[in-house]
Amino acid sequence: MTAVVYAARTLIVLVVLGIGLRLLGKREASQLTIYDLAMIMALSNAVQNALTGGRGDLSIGLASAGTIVVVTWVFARIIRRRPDLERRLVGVPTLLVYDGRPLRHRMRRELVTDDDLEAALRERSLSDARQARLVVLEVDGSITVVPRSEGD
Amino acid sequence: MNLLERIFDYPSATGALIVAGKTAAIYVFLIVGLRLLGKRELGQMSLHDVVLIVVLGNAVQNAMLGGDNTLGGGLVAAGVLLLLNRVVNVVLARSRRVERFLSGEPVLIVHDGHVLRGAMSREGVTIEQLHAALREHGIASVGEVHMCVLEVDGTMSVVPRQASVLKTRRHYRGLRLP
Repeated sequence: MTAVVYAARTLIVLVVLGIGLRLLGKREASQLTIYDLAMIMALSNAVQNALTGGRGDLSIGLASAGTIVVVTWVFARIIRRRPDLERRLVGVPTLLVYDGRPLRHRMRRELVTDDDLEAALRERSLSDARQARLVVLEVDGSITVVPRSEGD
Repeated sequence: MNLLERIFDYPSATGALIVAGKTAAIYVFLIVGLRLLGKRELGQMSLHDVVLIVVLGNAVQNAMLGGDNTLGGGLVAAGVLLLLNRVVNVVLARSRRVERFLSGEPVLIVHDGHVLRGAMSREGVTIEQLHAALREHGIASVGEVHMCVLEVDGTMSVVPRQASVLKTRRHYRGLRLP
């Protein structure tokens, strides 16, 4: 019975965290700052007692940890089966620069700063957004750059 | 106590407010503390820094919750952290000044073939490290460089005069002074 209680609590916390991070978190994991990391660490500790009820019993720990593993596995399966759901759950790549023109409203929506964009361009040895054909914020949070080819 | 009550337990309204207030205070404290530490990007972090952050998370756990073991209490604390982090990220994206203060700025090291010695020594980058970064980008001499920038994450990007696309990533951590 205890195991069921804590498995259910773990499930609820996971769902709430998943929705919360999707709505409020930022996607550019590669641009994760030390502040974001501190938030994630504090977050995991903040929900710890909610998961286990502040008790250190082995059975509770196993029920809670087991639920996390199963939920992650189920989530991965759902995404593989239903690519349409993946768009909603994981997001789609976002175009940040098209044909040398930065798309400011999208950058703002995805919380990509000018500094982030410029750093990504320099990483690909470009000095200016005008030299880029496409700059895309991928779902994994990295920023990819497709330069203009000669004669473009 | 029936099953549902055991699953969906929650603190009183005052208890929830106290958890929210404590969590907000801890978050602000963490940001100020980490800013004082000087490092701002994960790329600059060593194993010690990661350990520090994990331990920090554990150290503040009871301060946030104050022994509140309910499901509701944990979710309130998590929600406050997510919201505040969002606020910080939005402010960073909107205001260049705040971003520069919290994240630092990229520093130009080489401009059109000229080495900016003042910037280099301020950032603690040696000429050997600069040459190593250029070689990594397949460039033999400073004269071929349009610009070389020390990024806020501690890596160096090189833009050659004839734009070719070559990129290797390497961290020059510990070089930037807080």
